[in-house]
Amino acid sequence: MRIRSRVVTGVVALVVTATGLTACGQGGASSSGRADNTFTYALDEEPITLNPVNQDEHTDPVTEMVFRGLVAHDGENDVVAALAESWEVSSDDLTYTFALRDGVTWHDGAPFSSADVKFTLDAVRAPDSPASTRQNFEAITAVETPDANTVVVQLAEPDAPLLDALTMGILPRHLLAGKDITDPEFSQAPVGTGPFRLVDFQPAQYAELTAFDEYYGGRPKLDKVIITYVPDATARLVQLTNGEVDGSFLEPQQAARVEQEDRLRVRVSPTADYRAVMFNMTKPLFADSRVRQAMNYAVDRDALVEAVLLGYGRPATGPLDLSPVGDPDIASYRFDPATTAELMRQAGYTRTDGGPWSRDGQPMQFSISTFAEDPLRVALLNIVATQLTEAGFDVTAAPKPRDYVVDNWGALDAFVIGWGTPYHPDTSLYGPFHSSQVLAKDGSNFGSYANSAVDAALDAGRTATEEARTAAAYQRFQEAIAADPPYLWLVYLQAINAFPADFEGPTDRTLEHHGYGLFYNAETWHWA
Amino acid sequence: MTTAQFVARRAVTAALVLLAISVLCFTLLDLAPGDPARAVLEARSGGLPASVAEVADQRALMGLDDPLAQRYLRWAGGAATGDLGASSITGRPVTAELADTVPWTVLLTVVATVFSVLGAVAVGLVAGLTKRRWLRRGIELAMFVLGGMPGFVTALLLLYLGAARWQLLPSGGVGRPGEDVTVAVVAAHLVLPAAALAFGHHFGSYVRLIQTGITGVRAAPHVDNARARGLGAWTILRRHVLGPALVPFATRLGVGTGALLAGAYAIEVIFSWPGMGRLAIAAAKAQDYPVLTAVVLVTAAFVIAANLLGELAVSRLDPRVRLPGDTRRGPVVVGDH
Repeated sequence: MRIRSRVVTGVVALVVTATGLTACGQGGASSSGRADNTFTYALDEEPITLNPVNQDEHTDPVTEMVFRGLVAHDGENDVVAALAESWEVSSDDLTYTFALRDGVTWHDGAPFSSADVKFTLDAVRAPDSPASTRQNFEAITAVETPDANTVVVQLAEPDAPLLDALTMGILPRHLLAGKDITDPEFSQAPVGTGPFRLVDFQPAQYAELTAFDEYYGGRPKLDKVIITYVPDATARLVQLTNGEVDGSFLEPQQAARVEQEDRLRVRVSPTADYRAVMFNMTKPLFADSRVRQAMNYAVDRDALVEAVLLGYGRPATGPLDLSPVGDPDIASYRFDPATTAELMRQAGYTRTDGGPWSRDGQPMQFSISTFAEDPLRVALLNIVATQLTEAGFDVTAAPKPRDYVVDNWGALDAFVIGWGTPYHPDTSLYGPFHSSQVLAKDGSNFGSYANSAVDAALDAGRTATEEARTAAAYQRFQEAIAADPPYLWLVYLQAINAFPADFEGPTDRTLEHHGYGLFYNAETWHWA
Repeated sequence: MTTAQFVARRAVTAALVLLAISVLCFTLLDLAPGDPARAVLEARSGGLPASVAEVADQRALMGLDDPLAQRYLRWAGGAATGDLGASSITGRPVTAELADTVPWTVLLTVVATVFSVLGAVAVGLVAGLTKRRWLRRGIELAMFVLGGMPGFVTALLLLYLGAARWQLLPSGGVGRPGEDVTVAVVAAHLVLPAAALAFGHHFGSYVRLIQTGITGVRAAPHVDNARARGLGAWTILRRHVLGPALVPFATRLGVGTGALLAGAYAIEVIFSWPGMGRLAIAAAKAQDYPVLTAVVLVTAAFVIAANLLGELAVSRLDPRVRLPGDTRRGPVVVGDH
């Protein structure tokens, strides 16, 4: 009896002590960052590097705030001045002369000059360069620095996307000369010329940035920005509702919960990231463009947006719906079963009630694949397959592991793919749609789509430096793919973020995939 | 042979086991589907598929076109001098990645094990000693439920209750960004993940082992003998019951370290704990083979060490088990108290 009572008392004491200790620990709730003029934001994915030369159209927030390029994208995704105050393009489009801003300094106090620009561009475009942005600068033949504030870039051929590529952050020569441009130490402790200075980076934990007093655009309004890396979506929501973080990246199903909180606002940003069904043009089944047009009328995109994206997306009618050069009136693909039937009959197909379309005894039968690891694509695929089957296309949904897909593009009938850029369209059109980039030539035109009008328009777009010529080129491109669709366009995704209700600065800019590009104007963000 | 010699001999065996595991790991990763070069390119472009030409360039850059044996020897040569190569994704030395993460995982698992042991001994004692039927049954039922709950469910429940509902504790990380990482701060951040790991599904079986151990040992002849000698109940428990009763539990604890580490991986993701588990998951996703190989080896080393510790502990607890170098006397003699 004595033993038992002593043991039981001991356990009770232990529990009481443990509870006491717990209560003494700091609680989860905290005041907002308003008090110390700080903004803390929770992100799901930690960047693999903070080096801009290894981030191709995928600039993580820290890199975005630490670095500045010669030029930058503004709220409309137009190219505007940054480290370069102004620039001139020669009449043959082969010489770009940049006049650099005076008095720019690196975060460590060293002066910025044209030597840094030459160093960065030469290192990135070197033949053995490990930088993933190397291909963006292939047209450059020489970078000259007549004086400390002037950079002259010489090209072998006109290259319209060059200015967009030059939004890439410039690296400091005085820290990287003699080292690899992607030096891992520098890539974790980067020094740039941007509005915020990285003072602490703890892998798998957080990045802490403070305002850079000497920023050429004036001192940022926030004193501090902290990006925390929280892989679990539930944990992010808990931290947001607790006040452990001020803002966060959200999953669609979390948005409604966050909207209930008075002190939070949900901000939905359009992205240029689309999903579409790519057809394998080496399969005779897809040879007739009317068949592909018919399928583009057979899918209820609003239903996809509602069911799969929970409303956080928009129907897609082409690859340029959200591009500055996109013309929304060219391809008016919409859900219209009558037009589908009409086009199929024109293409010589017949259908007995309920059965699939067939021609010469051959039924319209194929499978659509996608990366089995991507739940969003699989969900889209399942609904699209059902909708197409209802419209008389005997479609099987067949998701495959990524490792199988990347080795077997040519064997697939069709595939749910995703591309899209909010900037100069060339980078996300030339690879997927130009006939010089087909799978057989080791390119990323995995559907082997070839159309001479598309090729001509893309070539013109790539070399057109005047706005009017660019617009005309991509107008022709859109007309060509509307008539001969390479894809069945599905949806554009949206990025959802939570911000405090009393916080201002983030804009409605069209973002890159996964919502990258949100922090482009972080120097103007502030507590209201 | 002394205990030190015994441990040294075990260390040699462990080194050979690690060598064998490194060969196995290298071979299996090579056989696995996927291409590390493609994974690097996709990580840098945010998942956009890379073209065949780009992948070929990257493979050459990473030296992946050499034969497997040559790559293994290159790696093993470096590993022998303490150089485990560089992460194919971040480019940082693998040793630096491990130095950043392994201590956090060790801290988490050690504290969780302490929680587990203290909690299991306490609850197991109560269950094994109590004469109140309802209490014993209640504990058994609770342990049954706990044992059936996957670790991540326990973790999410604790996250919800501790951080979201009652807001007693921080929900993740090891400290508050931008503030000094002090012992008190880390301790506060450690409570939820360590509790989630400690009281996951294995906790029920720990309690059960201790409970049955106590019930069994209390009925043993040597305990009757001690009672007959008129020893106090507390002395009997401390001297004659507790040690032998904990033997099955101690064995289980050593063997279960692998499962504990596997559990830690999930807990680390849920509680944003910057440990080796998150590193391993990121490395596996990105096919970062140098990091993955190192994580497998470190995990194997932990499991081997834990088994050795378990063996030593059992030999201390159970008078019938004697390891070389154990100089304790044999069975307890009358009047020895």
